[in-house]
Amino acid sequence: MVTILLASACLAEDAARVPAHGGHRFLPLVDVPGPFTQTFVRNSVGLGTALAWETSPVVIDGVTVDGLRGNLLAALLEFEYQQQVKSWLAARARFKIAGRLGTEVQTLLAQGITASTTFELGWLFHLYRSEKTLLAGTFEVSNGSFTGINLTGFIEDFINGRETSLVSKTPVIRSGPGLNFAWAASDLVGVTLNGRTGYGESSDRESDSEWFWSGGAAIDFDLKTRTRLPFGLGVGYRFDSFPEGGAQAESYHEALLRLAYTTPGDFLISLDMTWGSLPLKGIDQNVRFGSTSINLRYYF
Amino acid sequence: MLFHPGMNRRVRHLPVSPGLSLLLLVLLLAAAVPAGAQTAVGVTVGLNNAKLNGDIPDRLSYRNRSGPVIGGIIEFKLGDDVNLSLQPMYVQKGSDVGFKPRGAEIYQDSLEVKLDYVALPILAKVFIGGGRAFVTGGFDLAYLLDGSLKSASGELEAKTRFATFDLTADFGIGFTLPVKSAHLTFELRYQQSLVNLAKNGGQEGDDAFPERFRSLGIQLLAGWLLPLGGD
Repeated sequence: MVTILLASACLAEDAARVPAHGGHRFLPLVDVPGPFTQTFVRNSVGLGTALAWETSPVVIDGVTVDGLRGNLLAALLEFEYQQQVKSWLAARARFKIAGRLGTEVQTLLAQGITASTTFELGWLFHLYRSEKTLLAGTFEVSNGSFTGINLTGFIEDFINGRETSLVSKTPVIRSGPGLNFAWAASDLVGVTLNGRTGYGESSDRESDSEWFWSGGAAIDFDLKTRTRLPFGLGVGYRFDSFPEGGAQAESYHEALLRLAYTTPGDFLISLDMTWGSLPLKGIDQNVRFGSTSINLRYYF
Repeated sequence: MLFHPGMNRRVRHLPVSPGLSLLLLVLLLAAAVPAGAQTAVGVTVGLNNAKLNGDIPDRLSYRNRSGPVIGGIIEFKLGDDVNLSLQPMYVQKGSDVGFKPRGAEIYQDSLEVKLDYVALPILAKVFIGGGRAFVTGGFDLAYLLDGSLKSASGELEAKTRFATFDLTADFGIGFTLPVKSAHLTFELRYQQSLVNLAKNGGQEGDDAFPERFRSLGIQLLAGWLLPLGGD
C-alpha cells in the first residue's frame, strides 16, 4: 500500500503542471503575475479593512469640530481562466467584483459605498526565454462599471440647489500592454517581476481619460526542495495608480505575503495577505489597510 | 425625451489622430512582413451582432442588433503557424434601445441606432490543432460612413453625434477546411470598443446623448481564401 502511494505521488510530481522553469517551481502571486502560459482556473475570495480612519476636522461658525473615526471594509471576489494556445501564447479572461464601504455612520457619510465589476480579456505571449529566465508580453482590455453611493455629495447638491443623484454609475474601458518576467535563481528561490500600463477612461466623470500604471516584484521559496514540506512562501511589493479609486483615492503601495500548499502538483491553494497605504484626496490622511484572501488555482 | 442630458464635460478621445495611427500601423506592418512571404487573398461575409454599452438612462436598455459584414482578406505568413491578416470590410453596427414604461414587465424597442462603418481589422492569426483551427487577436480601426436613429416617428440622421473613428480590440476563434486549392474559414469574433463613441456627449438639451458609451458584440464570419504562393 505504501509503495502504491509513493508511486502515485511520484507520478503526480512528474505530471505536475504548476509553472516551473530553470529547475524552480514558481508561486505566481495574483498581484505579481508571471510569464507562464499554463492553462489554469483560479478563484479568489478576500476581505480587507482599514482601521481607525479619521475624517478631517471642520470649522462651523468659528468653532472647530474634531473629525470622526471609523473603519472601512472591502470585499473581493475574483475568477480567472487562462487557456494555453501554444507553448508561447495564452489567452486569459478575468472577472472581478470589489466593494468598499464604511462600517459606521461617520465613514458611510464621508466615504459612501463604492462597488465595481470588471471583466478583462487579454493575451500573454513569450518574448524571450533562456535557461533561467522567461519574459512575456501581455495586452489586456478591461470593461468595468463603478457604482457609488455618495451620501455627502447628495446632501451638498441638495443644499446648493443642484441636480441630485444618490447613486452614480460610471462605465470605464481601459486597455494596455505589460511585461512579466521570471528568474529561477535556484531550485529554492524564484523572482517574478511585472509592469503594466495603459490608457482609458477615469472612474471620475469630472476627469478626462488618463494613463494608468502598476507594477510589482516578488520572491518565492519552494520549501519542498529543502525540507520536504509541501509549502511555499512568497513575499512581494506592488504599486498601483489605482484608477478604480476615482476622485477620492490616489496611487497606493502594498506589501504582499503568500503562504501556499504546493501538492498535489496540479493544485495550488494559498493564503495571501497584503498591507498597504492609500492616500485619500480631500483629507490629509493616508489610509493604512490590510487584506486577506484565499486563492484556489488548478492547472490542467 | 429618450436620453438624459449629461453633465458638461469635454469628451476626450485617443491622444493621437486615428488617421495617423492607421498610417503608422500599416507602415509598421509592411516592414514586419518578410519579403516573398506566402500570401493569400479572399473574401469574407458574415453577421455582426452588437449593441451599445455604457451610460443609459433609467428605464432604457441597450439591446443587440444584427447587421451585415462583407469584405476582403489579405494574409501574410509571418512564421510557423502565424499569419498576419488584413480584412478591409463594410460592417453595420448599432443597437436597439428598449424602453420600459412604468408598470410594464418587459422592454419595448423604441429606437434603432444604425451605424455603418468601413473597417480594417489587423489581426494576428495563430494556427493550432495541426493547422485546422486558429485563434485571432488584434485591432480594428473603423471609419463611420453613416449613422441614423430610427423610431416610430421616423428616421433621423445622426452621423454627427457619433465619433468618426472607432477602435476595437478583437478576440476570435475559428477553424478552416481545405477545399481543393483554397480554404474555407469560419470564425467567431468578439469585439470591444476602446474609445468613447459619444461625440457630443455632455451637451445639455432635449436631444442630448449619454456621455459614455461604446460598441460591444460578436461577429460570425465565413471566408474563402486562395493562397497565391511565395516562400
